Amino acid sequence: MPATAHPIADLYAEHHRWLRSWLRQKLGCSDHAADLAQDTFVRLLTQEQRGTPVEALRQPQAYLATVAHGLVVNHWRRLEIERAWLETLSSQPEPLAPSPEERTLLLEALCELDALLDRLNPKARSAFLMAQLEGLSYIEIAGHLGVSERMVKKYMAQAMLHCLQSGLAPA
Amino acid sequence: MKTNPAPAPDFQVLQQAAEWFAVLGSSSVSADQWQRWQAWCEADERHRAAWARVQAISGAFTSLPTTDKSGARQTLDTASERQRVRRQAAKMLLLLCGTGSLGWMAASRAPWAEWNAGYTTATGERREVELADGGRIWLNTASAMDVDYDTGRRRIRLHRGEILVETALDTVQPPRPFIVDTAHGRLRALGTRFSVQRREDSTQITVFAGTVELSPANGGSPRVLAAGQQSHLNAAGATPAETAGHAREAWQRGLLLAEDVRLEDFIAELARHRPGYLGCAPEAANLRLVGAYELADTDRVLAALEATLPVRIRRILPWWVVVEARQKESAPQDRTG
Repeated sequence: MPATAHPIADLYAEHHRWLRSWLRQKLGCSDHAADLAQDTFVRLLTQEQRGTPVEALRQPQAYLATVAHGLVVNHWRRLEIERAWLETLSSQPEPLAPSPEERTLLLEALCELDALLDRLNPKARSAFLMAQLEGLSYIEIAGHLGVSERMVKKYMAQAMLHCLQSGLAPA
Repeated sequence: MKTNPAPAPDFQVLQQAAEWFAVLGSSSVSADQWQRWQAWCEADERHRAAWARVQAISGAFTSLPTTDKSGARQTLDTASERQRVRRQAAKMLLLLCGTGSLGWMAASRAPWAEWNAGYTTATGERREVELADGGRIWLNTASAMDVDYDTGRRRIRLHRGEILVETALDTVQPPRPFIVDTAHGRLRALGTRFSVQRREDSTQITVFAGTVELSPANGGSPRVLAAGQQSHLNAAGATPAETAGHAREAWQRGLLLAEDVRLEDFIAELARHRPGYLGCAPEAANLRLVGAYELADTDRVLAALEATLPVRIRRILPWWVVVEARQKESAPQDRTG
């Protein structure tokens, strides 16, 4: 253990309170604000473990706000995905009742996939999901989307390239 | 923990890997195709690294922890469609409202306002903001802006007040354009340090380093400003470039600079940094002033004016201050006219 305090510990001591109130303003909820403030520092720690050291920052608050802002966006997005999923569940004739653990894991995974596919053109996205999740053949997908089989192949390459370039891809 | 990472595959290799993924996913893959794919993999370490990433991505989808795969697809489709609609609505709204104060108010109430970072300063406050790419923006007193970075561009919207911008090289390749929008038009920075001041009927742009291209909101021909030049932009066009002073940069260091300005203009500038009313009486308006004043204490600036010019400061109410010409008899003896 080094004698001097960790730079992130310093950041935490000095700006944690500020960040929490900043987030409270954005979210309108102090519980979520506290969670996301913690997540922001966790994000910094994992970043550092991956080899991006957090040095003394010239503008620590602006930096924290940028990281936290990304988490706020993810937070809203997550709620939206959860809502879409609950709607899907309730529209099924025999609703499944997954356990809370299963539910958390699935939502986590869905959010990751959603982020990977963000801003991909809708048809390429649909083709890719039909093939990867439901195991449909290119001919079947072509039928669903009303395009040629060749086009489906193009969509598949386009979607994969999009994921490869997203920077979020699983290592 | 870490093994030596393989060299990062470049775009062309990723493209080839994605092509192979699409080919091999088809239900009719020929023996010849398999062989060619294998040859491609063996040809280069970067090919194998790219393929490993393809597999990891594909695996993330196929190993989704649910038996209800079509429910999962439906969920992702619904969520994506809603995001697409919302992004389109956000674009429409901005188009309808322009970038004026109405647009700003509407956007600040809409849920997607959360997606843009908004920055404001109170009267008398100045603030530095570090941008995601390492660039910096200083907000002068009583100013408001949005920072809106997306995949295609780096965009600042100045709603009121004044900013000083120092752009950085983009962290993304190819670099995204850096633009500042006001109600009067669009500024495009080409590697630069410049200030933008929103006024009632125009936007003043002063360039200290690099160049900035000004495009009027109504679509007139653009004008390029070089370092050391300034211009006023309104919706119809930009005034010819004139030589710039340093006043529009000095406030970043907490200074109000008077480079042989009329007292009335100086007071108007100072008033922006003070709450309440600060005005200049007509008979003192044309006195001229040279100097550098600390913005941190505007009362001291007023006291300094009283000491160096034939004026007196009248405090009618604590927050209602007028700078007047001093009575003739009390004017300094060495002033002759």
